[in-house]
Amino acid sequence: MGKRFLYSFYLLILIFSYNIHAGELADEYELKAAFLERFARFIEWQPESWSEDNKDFFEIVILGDNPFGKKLDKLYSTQKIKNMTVKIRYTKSIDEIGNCQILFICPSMSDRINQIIKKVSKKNILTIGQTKGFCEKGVHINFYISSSKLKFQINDKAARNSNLQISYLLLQNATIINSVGGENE
Amino acid sequence: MKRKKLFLYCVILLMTITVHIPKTNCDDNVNGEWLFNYSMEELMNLTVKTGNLTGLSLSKTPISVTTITSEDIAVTPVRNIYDLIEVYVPGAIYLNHYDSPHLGVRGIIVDRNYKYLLLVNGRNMNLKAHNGATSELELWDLDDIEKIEIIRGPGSVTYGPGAVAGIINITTKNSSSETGIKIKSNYCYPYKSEGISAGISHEINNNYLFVYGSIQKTNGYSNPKVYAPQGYNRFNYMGFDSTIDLKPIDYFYDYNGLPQLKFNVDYSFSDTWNLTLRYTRQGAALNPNFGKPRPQVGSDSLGGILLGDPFNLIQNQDQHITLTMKNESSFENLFDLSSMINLSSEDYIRRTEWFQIFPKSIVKSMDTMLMFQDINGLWTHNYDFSESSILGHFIFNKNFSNKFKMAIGTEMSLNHWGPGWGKDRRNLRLGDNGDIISGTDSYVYGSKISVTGVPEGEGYFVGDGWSTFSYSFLFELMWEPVTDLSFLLSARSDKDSYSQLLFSPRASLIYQIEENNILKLVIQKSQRMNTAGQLLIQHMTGKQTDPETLTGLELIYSGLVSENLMINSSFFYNKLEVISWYNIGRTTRPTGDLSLFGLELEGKFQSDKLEIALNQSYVKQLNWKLADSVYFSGISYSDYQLELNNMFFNSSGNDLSNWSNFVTKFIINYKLFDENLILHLDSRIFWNFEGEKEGMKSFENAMDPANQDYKLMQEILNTVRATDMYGTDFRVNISIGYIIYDHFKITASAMNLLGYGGNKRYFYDSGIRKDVNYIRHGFIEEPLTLALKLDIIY
Repeated sequence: MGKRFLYSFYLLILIFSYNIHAGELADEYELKAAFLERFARFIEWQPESWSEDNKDFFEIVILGDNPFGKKLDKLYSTQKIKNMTVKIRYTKSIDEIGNCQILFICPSMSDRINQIIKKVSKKNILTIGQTKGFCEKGVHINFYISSSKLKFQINDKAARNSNLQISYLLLQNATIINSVGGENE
Repeated sequence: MKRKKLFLYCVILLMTITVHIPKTNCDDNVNGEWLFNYSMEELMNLTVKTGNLTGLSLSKTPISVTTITSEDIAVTPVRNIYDLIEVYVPGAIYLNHYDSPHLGVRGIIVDRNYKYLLLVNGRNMNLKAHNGATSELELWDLDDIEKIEIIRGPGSVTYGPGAVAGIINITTKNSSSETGIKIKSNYCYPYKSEGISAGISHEINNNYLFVYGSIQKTNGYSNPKVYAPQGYNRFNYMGFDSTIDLKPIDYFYDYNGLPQLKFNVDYSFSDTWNLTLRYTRQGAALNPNFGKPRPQVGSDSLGGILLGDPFNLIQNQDQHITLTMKNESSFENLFDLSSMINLSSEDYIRRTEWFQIFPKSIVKSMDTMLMFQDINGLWTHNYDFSESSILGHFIFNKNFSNKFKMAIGTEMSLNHWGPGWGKDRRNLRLGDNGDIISGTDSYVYGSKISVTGVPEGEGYFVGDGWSTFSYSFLFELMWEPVTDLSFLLSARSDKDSYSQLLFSPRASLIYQIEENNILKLVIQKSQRMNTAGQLLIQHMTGKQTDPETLTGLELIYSGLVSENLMINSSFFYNKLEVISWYNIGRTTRPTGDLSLFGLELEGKFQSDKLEIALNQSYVKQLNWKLADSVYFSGISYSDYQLELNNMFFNSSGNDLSNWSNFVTKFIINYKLFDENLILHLDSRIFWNFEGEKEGMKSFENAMDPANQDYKLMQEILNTVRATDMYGTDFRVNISIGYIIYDHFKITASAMNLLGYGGNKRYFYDSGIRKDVNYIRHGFIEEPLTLALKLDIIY
């Protein structure tokens, strides 16, 4: 009986492996990657956001355990943001955030989110996350999934504190979080 | 035949891996360029492919780990963490025993939990003096737990001495993970268990506070069906034979009727600091083997014995309070430092199984008799002590580059063992023979009457208690010479004032075949420190023995077959040099050498609404060899030599005792109506306990028609076989949860729904019961259980 059960288990795995196809859907992280470019269209950074060293690049830093795999590198190998070549940098150290335009904070950094916000909140860096509660803690944009659609929250107050101007065209598509604990549609 | 079967498994495993690799290569293709042509509205209307999104991810950590999340805990019908582990962890089982339930993972199960390490928020919670992993595990309330990670196999190198067989790593909810107010209540039949819990999260000037508390009262399941020995020639279902005056315990009855308690305060402040205060109290009647004895309440006029009502005597109680301060700091471009300072105190009592009963001719004074039977006194307590410590834990992380990282750390702890909380030194008692006491002033010293006392001239005297200092050094180096290939070299060394220096190294190679396929090879040695009681006696008697050592090799493959399907497989080989306490010599000594191998296969399918997890475990003993001058053990009957009543019980088979070689587990969760309705089903099948059946064969082989006990043994054998003892055990649990108006959730659940095989929970078989009778085996048939939970969330 045990052997039969084991074989059925394998059969089940093999059936699943061959029969699940993605269909015409968007991959979660490819979609998030595309959103980064789309956000940039509606946000104004200050000129001093670009230092001498990186004035020709639009720099995205992925902080923590990278969930994108190689998707960001491949998609932005040709795609530009604000007509600039995109440079992707990966790090797990808060000290290595440095100068950039977008900081994507991975879920693995959730234990240190207060420390990260403290470090970058006064800099002209757009922070983006995908973890529940991040926006309330001061992250500017936070992805979430609802009914299989990718949606996002915006903490406009925190963005203004970082000297970032977010267009109302973007704000009207988001759930606005103005302060800790206060949520307005 | 068995080799053929093994060969077949290996072929299937290889097939599975080979079939999946090209498939995941396809998944690696990035073709989302078209997304840049879409407008914001169009992007927002695209349907997201689930998979990684909902939790499927591959870990590069060189361990096999099962993670049980708070969502899993909410839907799974369980009574405590032991149940939860048995539902989710491949191959895991637990058995009842004298001390408490005992956990088994990957074939390693013994009469104490000291081969497992219990961590709560990174702090080692093991009861070092005796039982190892103890607190938290019997608590009904699990609502304050964020996740439990169970590391299958050794992990001393990272987590500390004691983790030779596995680690239970509990992370509690905190102010970052919780919002608002939650109030929960529950009732469980037939255990007559009811509880209430409340948690509140609050923000004060950018600092975060989470306060949680719960209380759970359990009267226990009365008159359970227990099969157990009840004397030399008495065996059957307890309480069903009117000639035997022994009732089964009220299964899960609270220790002395005192409800279980849990209280937790978590405070995060100044961005990098966290302070946690946690208190738990647990204690339940969980060993049905001995039934409810009746105390002597007096003597009749003829000097005969008058007995009182049956009482749930055999129980233990554990209370644990910890205060932990943590900090995570980054020092500009130099290193990251994580620090922890912890104060901890644990109060532990284990009560004996029988009341001592004396005729008036032996104990003339009623006061003396009552003293021997006082359920709160030392005469009925085999263990009664507290264990306290101050601990400092510091880890420095330095990333030289993305390809070269290093961590070094140290842990220091000042430990003290003394009388139980609020008790004077005369109440102190612990040690494998219950003979570590305060001195000649101890309440149990010197009695010539009671068998549970410490005889005059014996015992190990510690006054108010004793202290030791422990320290550890940790080291880990990660080097990624080429993309997708990394080496990890780790080591940990531990030393206590009274122990030898322990050394647990590990080397691992991690190869990311493709983005969605990871292969890990791990070789390690893991050492366990003897208990504090054992180390003390060895120190006082000038003896020192080697620690228990496990050497292991493991190959792990993890792959994402598609966005929705993940598989894991692990092949492991372990060699364990078993050490145990030798009563006569008052020291630890080698018991034998065990070698085993195993295969674990897991598949997990996850979509928006449906989650299916299936796992299969196979563990096989390769060899068990008793040490010199050791004749039997609870490890296996494959090397066994016992002479009893002029009969010879010899070795049989080559399988592990207390273990089912094949274990299958199956979990389904299905969400409906916008995830407001959640259906859950879990099932586990233990396919025969081969090693125990071989033990019965040894029993049968020893039967000699010429022996006076032949008929009795034949009767035992027939009765045992009639119960289908150690046959296939197949359980099914279900639950249904419904969320009403976002603020109310009601969950109804049932455990042991089908019960093929009788839902037997076996007693740990230590290989011998010659003090009672021939029967080494016993079990309780766990009942159909119904539970209702109501959550209010704001």
